[in-house]
Amino acid sequence: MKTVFAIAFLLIAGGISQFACAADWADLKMTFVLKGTPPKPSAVVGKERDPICAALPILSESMLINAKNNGIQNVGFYIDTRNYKIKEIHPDLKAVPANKVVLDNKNCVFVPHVLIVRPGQTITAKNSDKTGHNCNFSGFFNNTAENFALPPGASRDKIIDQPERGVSPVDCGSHPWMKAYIIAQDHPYVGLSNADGVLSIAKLPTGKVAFRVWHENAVIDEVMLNGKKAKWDKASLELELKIGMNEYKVEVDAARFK
Amino acid sequence: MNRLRNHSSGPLVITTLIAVAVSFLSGCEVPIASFSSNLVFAKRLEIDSGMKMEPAVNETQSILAEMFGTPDQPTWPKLLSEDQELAGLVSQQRLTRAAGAVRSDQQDNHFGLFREHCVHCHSVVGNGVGPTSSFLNPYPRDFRMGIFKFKTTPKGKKPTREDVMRLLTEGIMGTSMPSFRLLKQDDLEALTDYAIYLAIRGEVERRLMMEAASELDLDKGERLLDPALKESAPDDYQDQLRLIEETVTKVAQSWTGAASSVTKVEAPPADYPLFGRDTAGSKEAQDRLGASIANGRSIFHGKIANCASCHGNTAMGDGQTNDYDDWTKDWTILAKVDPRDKEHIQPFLDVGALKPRNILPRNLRSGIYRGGSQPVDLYHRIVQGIDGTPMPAVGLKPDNPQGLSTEEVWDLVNYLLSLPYEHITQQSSQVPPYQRENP
Amino acid sequence: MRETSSSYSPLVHGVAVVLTLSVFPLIWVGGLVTTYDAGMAVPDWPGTYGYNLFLYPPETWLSGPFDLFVEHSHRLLGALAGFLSIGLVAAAWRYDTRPWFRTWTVWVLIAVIVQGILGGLRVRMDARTLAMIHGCTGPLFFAIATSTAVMSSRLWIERTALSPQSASWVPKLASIMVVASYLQLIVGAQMRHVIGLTSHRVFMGFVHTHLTLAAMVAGLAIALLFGASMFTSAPRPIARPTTILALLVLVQIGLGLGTWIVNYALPWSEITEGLARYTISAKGYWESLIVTAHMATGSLIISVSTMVSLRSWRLASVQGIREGAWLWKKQLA
Repeated sequence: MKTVFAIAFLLIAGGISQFACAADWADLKMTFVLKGTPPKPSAVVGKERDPICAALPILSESMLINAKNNGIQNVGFYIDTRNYKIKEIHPDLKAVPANKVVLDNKNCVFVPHVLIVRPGQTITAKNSDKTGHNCNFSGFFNNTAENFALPPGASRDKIIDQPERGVSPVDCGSHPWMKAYIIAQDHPYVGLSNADGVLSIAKLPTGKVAFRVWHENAVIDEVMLNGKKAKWDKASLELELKIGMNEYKVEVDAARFK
Repeated sequence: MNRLRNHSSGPLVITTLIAVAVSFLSGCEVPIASFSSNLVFAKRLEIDSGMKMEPAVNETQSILAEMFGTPDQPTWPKLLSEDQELAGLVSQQRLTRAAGAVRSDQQDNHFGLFREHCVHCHSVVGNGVGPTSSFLNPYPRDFRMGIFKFKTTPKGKKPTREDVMRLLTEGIMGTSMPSFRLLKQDDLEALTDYAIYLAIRGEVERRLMMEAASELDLDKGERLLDPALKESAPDDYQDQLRLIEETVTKVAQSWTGAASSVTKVEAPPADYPLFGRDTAGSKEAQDRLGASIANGRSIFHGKIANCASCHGNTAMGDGQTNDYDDWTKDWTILAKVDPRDKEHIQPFLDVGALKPRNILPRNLRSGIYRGGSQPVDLYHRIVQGIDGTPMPAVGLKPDNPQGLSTEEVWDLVNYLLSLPYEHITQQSSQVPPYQRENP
Repeated sequence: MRETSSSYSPLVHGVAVVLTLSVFPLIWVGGLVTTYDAGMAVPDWPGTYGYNLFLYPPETWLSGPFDLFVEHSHRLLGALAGFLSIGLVAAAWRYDTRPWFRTWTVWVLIAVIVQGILGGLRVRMDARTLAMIHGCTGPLFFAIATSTAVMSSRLWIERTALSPQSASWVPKLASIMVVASYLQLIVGAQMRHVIGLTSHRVFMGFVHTHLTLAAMVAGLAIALLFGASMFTSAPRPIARPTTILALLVLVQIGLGLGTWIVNYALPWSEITEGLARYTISAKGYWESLIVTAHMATGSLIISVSTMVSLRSWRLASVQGIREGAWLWKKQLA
C-alpha cells in the first residue's frame, strides 16, 4: 500500500514540476576559439620503448586546435556550485544515464581524451591495442583509486560512485604520454567542446548561472566573451541565461596556454 | 659571610647568567601548541579556485583543533568515540601515551613515543617533511592522504591495523624506515593508533579544505561552520555541522572497513613447487619448479602482466622511469604544474613540499622487496597493485577472462624470487635449478 | 710565566689525569642518554625518583629499565667528576705553587658545577634544547680537564728538558684543529638533538656543514701528522698524540658513515640499492653503539687536539720557529 502511495505521489509531483517549469529552461551553446597562432601539435616523447606504439604517429593531445576555425577542443564547462546552487534539474536529465562510459586504449592513446560521467555511472576501461596498457585512476579525491592492468582485448569496470570537485586525470604507467580526464559532477550540466570548439549544454535553469571552465593546458581567467572583455573571477564566470537558446563565442588568447 | 660572597659571587653570577640565557633559548620549545596546516594542498586549491585560501586554512585548523586536539593533547573526536563501530579504532589512552614530550618511568613505561621515534622523519603532523626528510630516498610517508603502499587490502582501501603494525615491527628494507621490533608490544600499539589518528586527521583536513575551495566563496566571508548562523539560522548551522561530522565519520569508516576488504590469497596446491623450499628438493620437484619459473618469466615479459614495460626487460627497474607517485602528483599534475618546471614548483617548495622525484620501478634483481619478501607479500603486490604508485593491479581469472589465474600469479612469484639468481643474459625459457644457465 | 721545577706535584697531576679519564665514560654514558632518548627517564633532579642521588636503591638502578640505568649512571658519574674536581682544587691549593693554576682549578670546579646544573635544568624544564647545550658543553669540560692534566704535567713545568722544538705551525694548526673539531661537534649535536619542528632545509644545512667540516678536520689531522712526522726532530710528546689524533679521525669518519647508515640507511639509494639489504633496527645494539661511539670519539678528538695544541705551544720557542721554518723550506726545495 505504502509503495502505491509513494509511486502515485512521485508521479503527481513529477507531473506538476514538469508542467510548472516546462518552458523555463535555457540551452547554452558556446564556441571556444583561439586568438593567435595555434601551436603545431608536437610528437609525444618516450614511445620508442614500446615497438607497437612506436610504429604509430602519436601527437600530443594536450592542445587540440581546429586548423580551419581555430576552435579549441576539449574545453570543459560546468556549473560552478560554489557560486550557484542548483535548485532544480530538468526532469529529463534527473536520472543518471544507465549506459557505461567507455574509456578505450586505442592506438596508444586514451579515447576519448575527456570523459563526462555522473556519479552512479560505470566507466569501462578497455584495451583495443595489441600491446598491454594500464588505467591508473589516481587523480580522484572522493572515488577510490584504481589501477587496472589491461592486457590486449581486456576490459574492466570502474564504478564512479562519488562526484569529484575538480577534473581527475587518468594515466597509463607504461606509456607516459597517455592522459585522459574525467569530469564527474553530480549534475548533468556539463559540456565539452568538440573538434570545432563548440559545446552545448541543454535544459539549464534560467537567470544568472555561474560556470567554471577547464582546459588541461591552460588557466582560462581572461577571455573575450562575444567580443567583450570578460574575466573568470575566482575561476568562475556568471552568465545571464534566458529561456531558449543562448549563444556565446569565447575567444581565448594563445598566451593563456602553456 | 662577606668573604664567602666576595669569593664566590663572580662564578655565581656567571652560572645564573648562563642558566637564564639558556632558559630563554629553550623555554617555550617543549609544548607544541598546534599541528601545522597542509599549506601545500592549500596552494594547489588556491591556484585551482583563484581564491585566497587563508581563511579556509585557518578555519580548518580551528575545527580540527576542536576535534583532534593538539600534539601535546591529542583527542579522539567525541563523535567517533560515541560511535559503536568506530570507537574501537583508536584508543584515547594509547593516543595520550604516544603523544607529548618524551619520558619514561621506573616501570619502563614510555611516553611521547611519536616524538621519540617518528618525528625526525615524519614530522609532528605526519606530513613526511620532518627535519631529515629531504635527503631520505624514498621520502618519508605523508600520512595525510590516507594512502599506504604495503598492505593486504586492494588499491584504494586503507591498510588494516595489522598492516601498519607489520611495517612498524619489520621496518621497510632498502629504505630509512627502521624496524621497531625492540619496542614493547604496547608501544607499537600506541604508535599504530597515533599513526592512524594522524592519517585520519590529515585526510579530514584535506577534505574540509577541498569543500571550502569548491563550495564556498571565501572572499565573501563564507565559512565552513559559521558561528553567526547559530543564532540567525540554526538549521543552516546544523547542516554545516553535519557535513563536517559526516566527513570525519566517513574517513574513520574507511579505516574500520579495511579489515573486511583484505585480499583473499588463493593458496597454491599443497605440492606446488616454491622457490626456496624446492630449490634443493627432489629432481622432480626441481623440474616442476624450473617449469614454474619459466612460465613466470614468460608472464613477466608477456602482455597480460606487462611487468617488463616498467621494470624493464632486464628486470632491473630500467623501463618506464619518468612517472611520479600520487603524493607528488597531488600538488603538481593536479595543480597543472609540471614537476620538472622549477619556476612553478618553487611556491610549493616554499610552503613545505619536497623536491619532486621520479618514482622508480623496483630493481627486481636486488632481492630487496620493501613490502616484505615472503611469497605471499609478492602475491599481494601483484594482484593489488601498489597504492600511490603507477604499479597496476593485475586482473584475476575468472572475473577477468584476460587476466591471470592464481596459479600463474604463483608462477610469477616463483620467477620474481628466482630473479636475483638469474643470469643477466638469461634467454632460455626452461632451466631447472640444478642445471647451469647459459651452458 | 717562569715556573720552577719544584712546582710539579705528582698528586695534582694524578688527580687531574684521573679527572680527565673519568670524564670520558661520563661522556659515553651521556651519549647513551641521548641515543636512547632517556633524558626524561628520571623526572626529578637533583634527586632520583624522590631519593637522594646516592641513596637510590641499586637494585632498581641496575636491574630496572635500561633508560633509568643509563640516566642514573650518568648522574652518578657526573657526581664523581664533581668530587674529583673538588679534590683537584684542594690538591692544587696545597701543592701547586703557581697562583694562576690554582685559580684555574677553581674555574674547573665551577665549570663542572655549571655543567651539572645545565643537566639538571634539562630535566627540570624538560627542554630538549638544553639537552643539546648540555651535550655540547660536556666535551668542552673534557677539553678543560685535559688542559688541566697537561698543564700540571712534568713536561709542561720542566719544558727546557726537551729539545729540539717542533715546527712553529704545528701549534697553530693544532689550535685550529681544536676549534674546528669543536665546531664540528656542535654541528653534529644539532643533528643529533634535532626536534620535530626543525625545518628540513635547516637540517640539510647542518648535514652539509658537518660534511664540510669533516673534510677540514681530516685535512688538518693529515697536515698535523705530516708536520709531526716530517721532522724527525719532532718530540715524542707531540708526535705520539698527533698520530693517535690522525687514527681517531680515521675511525671517526668510519663511525660517521656508520651513523648515517644506521639512522638513514645507505645514501643514494638508487645506486646503492644492491648493497642495501639491511633494515635499520631502531634502538638496536650496534645501531646505538655506533651512534654513541661517533659522539664520544668526537669528544676524544677535541681532547687529544687540545693536548697537542697545548704541548706544542708550550714547547715552541723562537729557536724552534726558526728551525722549523728552515726545515720546511728545505723540504719544499
